[in-house]
Amino acid sequence: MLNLIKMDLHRLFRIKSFWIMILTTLILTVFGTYMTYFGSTNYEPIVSSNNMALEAPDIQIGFGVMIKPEWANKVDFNELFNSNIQGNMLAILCAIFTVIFVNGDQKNGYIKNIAGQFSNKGMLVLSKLVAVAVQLLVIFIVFSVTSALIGKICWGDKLVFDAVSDFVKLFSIQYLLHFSFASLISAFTIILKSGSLAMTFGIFSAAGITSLLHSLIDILLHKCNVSKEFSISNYFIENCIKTFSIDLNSDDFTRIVIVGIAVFIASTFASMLIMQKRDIR
Amino acid sequence: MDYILTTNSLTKIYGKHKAADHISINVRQGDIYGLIGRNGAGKTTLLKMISGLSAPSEGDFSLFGYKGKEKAKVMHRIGTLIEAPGIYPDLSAYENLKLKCIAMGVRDMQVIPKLLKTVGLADTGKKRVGKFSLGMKQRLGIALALVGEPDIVILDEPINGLDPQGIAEIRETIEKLNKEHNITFIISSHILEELSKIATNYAIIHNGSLIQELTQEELLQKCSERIELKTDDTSKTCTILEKMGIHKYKVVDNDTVEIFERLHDSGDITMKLAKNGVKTLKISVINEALEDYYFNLTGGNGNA
Repeated sequence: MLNLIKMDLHRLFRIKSFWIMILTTLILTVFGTYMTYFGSTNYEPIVSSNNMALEAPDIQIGFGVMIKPEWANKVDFNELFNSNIQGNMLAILCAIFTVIFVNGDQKNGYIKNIAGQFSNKGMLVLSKLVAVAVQLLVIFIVFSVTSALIGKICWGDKLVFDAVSDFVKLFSIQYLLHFSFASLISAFTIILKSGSLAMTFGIFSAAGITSLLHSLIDILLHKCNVSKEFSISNYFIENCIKTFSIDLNSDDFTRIVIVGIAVFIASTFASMLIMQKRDIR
Repeated sequence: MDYILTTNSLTKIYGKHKAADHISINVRQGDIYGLIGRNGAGKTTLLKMISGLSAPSEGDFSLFGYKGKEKAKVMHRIGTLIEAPGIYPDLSAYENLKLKCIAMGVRDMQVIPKLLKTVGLADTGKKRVGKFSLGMKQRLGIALALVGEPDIVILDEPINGLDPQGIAEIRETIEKLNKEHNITFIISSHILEELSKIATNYAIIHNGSLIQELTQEELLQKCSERIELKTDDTSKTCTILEKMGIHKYKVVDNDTVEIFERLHDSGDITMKLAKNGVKTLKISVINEALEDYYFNLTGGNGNA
């Protein structure tokens, strides 16, 4: 197992997609942070015809930035970090990279050179997930450092780093959620045996397109006398990424962490099982 | 006889199709074991099961005396090249080999230049494998199969798509590794002529079933020039042949004897038989080519 992890880590740092993803993260973070700054300094609330400010819709589709009006005067780095993450950028990159990396040795057939030598082929999945975790960590670090640097350049002294412990918590939970999302995409790649299908699903769900489906399910459930308080989207990992913030109450906080862990365990178990049972072609 | 690989009724079923049907073969250390069969005969399916890439639907195989789940202990002693070589096109030959070395726990990376030299890719440097010719990729595939000093190397159609020079180079490499390192090779091919130049043993597979397993000597004997002699007294015929100094013969059935030497002495043989009161029913010199033999066995002249 350790040898497989070493091999996948060795491969990770030698494939183009790793460096392209880091460069893309860097560029998009610069762009996203600057757009946030631009939006905050030119903020105009959307108003209705009776001059009441409208609330932002619950469903956000696509890649974007979120802006708070008070950021014109003071910006908490934790809020900036989380709002940029909630803009779906990292989740979309995470989905793309996971499919490329997990599907790589199946696509070119390299897996045939090694799979026969390991009695538990499920280990081939685990070792890849370790490499994906490392890639994700590098992306998160690049994202955090770039956000801080560009934020400092844009806002200057208005950008404050108040609560380090909150940042650690935010970073850790978002990292866990993104990693769970990656493990789900990895499972789709393995189960569907199709990188393009898995990538499409990953991008669609990260971009919030699946939330339309969640809304439909909610409507159906509510018609079946399920409490109006219940929303299925609360139990989908992509929605947890978008809704997580440090200010959440303990129940929501716990729910999100449990969803993250459960998705990771379920998808990893399913993909390991499939890999073990299925013939290598 | 000690076999390092014995398959016992290996069967693979895909849906309703039996790709391999109760195949039992035996391979000894140092053999170059050729699997002959046309495309779709079941060669790759059999090799995938032996390589651990595919689970048998029925049957089992023993490897170095280990059976069932115990085989996992020795699966690392098999190197494989199944179908097209599995390689990362964006990496160099060195990097591709290094990945497998790491996975197999090979710490001494000095083996990589040696492997590249063995397969004739020593001068490829940092050239991306994606830019390699088909022959070079095939040779890299063999080098990958050799990582970890395996005792058995399984090569599935290793000469497919190669030019005559490439085929000769692969053949020389296999012979060299077999002689110098006593590596056992299991090679599948539908090109009989090429396989016959190096194989020591053969299994003929047709429609998923094993038709015949035979040694090189047995195959050559079956395909070599010989006198087919039919007489009314086989036992007396043998005595006469011995008296004539003919020892390379085989009694095929009640009235047929095959003689493998002095092929131009058929006249003398019939004279001698007649003098001793043995009636010659038929005498002819026959010569069956390897391909003819295969076609006679499989009942067709398809792709092999």
